[in-house]
Amino acid sequence: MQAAILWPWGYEAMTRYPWEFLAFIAVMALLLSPITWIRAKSLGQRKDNAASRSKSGQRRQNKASRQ
Amino acid sequence: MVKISAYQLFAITSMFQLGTTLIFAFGASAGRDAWIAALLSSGLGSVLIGMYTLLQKMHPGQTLVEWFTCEFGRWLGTPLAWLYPLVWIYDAGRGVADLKFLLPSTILPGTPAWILVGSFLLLILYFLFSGIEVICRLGGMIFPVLAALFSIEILLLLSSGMHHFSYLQPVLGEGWGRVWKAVWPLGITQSFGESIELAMIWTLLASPKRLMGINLAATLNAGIVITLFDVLAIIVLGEKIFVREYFPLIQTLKQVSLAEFIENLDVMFVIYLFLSTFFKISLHMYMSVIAVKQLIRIRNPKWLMVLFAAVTFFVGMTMAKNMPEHTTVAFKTLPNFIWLPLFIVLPVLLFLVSLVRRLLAKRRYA
Repeated sequence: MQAAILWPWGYEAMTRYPWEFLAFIAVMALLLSPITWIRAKSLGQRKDNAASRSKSGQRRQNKASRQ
Repeated sequence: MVKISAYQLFAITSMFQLGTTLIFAFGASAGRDAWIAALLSSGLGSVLIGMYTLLQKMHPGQTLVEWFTCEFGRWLGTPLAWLYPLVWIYDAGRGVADLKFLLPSTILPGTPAWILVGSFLLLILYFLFSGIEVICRLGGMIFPVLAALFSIEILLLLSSGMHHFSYLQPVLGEGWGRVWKAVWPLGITQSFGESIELAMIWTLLASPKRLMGINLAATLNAGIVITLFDVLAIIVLGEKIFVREYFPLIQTLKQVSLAEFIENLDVMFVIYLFLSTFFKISLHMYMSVIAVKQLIRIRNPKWLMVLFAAVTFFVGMTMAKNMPEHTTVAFKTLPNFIWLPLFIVLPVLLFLVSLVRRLLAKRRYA
């Protein structure tokens, strides 16, 4: 039992509790997903800031808001 | 911009699908009808791969991990996309475990497995640092070498007179039951379903219109080679030894004896083992690295490669204590509980959602 919990990819877990490994990678995927969301948000903000800092970016934003 | 030629994609797809399948008997549970299971698996595998390429056609310029966020949105699509690199690292670990058990039992019996596997992974790491262009170019170079090796093996086996075609009879003597058991889900997912991984690099193909053709040709090629080697192993070893042996290919090659001069061709097995595992582990690791690179949007993935190599080594070294444990998991647990949901259920769901959304959009704009 202990080995199955510690090593979800081990023989004991894979044969006794075959769904455990899928559950393990699903939990890992859920835990890692926020990194994607945070990175996407921070990169988006950085792009917005860079665009608003440059004159051409400001012009583009003004044009977009007029439309 | 890196581009992959049609030939390079054909070569790496074929080699990826062949992988270590030839070393372990494909469809051994079907006994002397294993070759029928191999043919059937490659036929059904072609349909599955055809669906993957249609998914790529529906999402031009996007990779596998981007398909999920595109269709299911970021809240559901992102965790689903993360499942794939994680399972590819595990698959790379399985390649490492293959080496851990195969190398000491064939060559280098006195060398500790961790030294063999560790140095092998360092070599792979160096290879991965070179990038996808070098990986594909090397694939294009290795492919003819493997083809020549296979041709020589077949010629030598047939000319040494050790074969008995009667071992194949009676064909389907015990019905379709055991053939189907070998085909579904192991036969389809093991070699062919895994190819979904290559969708991470399909966007780099120089001629995207030829994607489906190249993939189907590669699948057909891999299917024919697997079938041929199944037939060879059965007609040389007979059904009982074919089913019992862990590595029927090495036993088959050991039978070659030509004019008492050309003998002990185990070396061919070792060359094939090194080439196939090297390529398969490299591709598993590379695809997981670029998937994570896209998911967390980093520029330099080299530290990820080092991290994944360490994780692969750890997973590979701790997953099984011996060969029977390793193969039991491969044949009984993985196809039903990991590969079936990830390589068939989720892609089919994604395909249906993509299709319905496109049909609805078409109707809206008509």
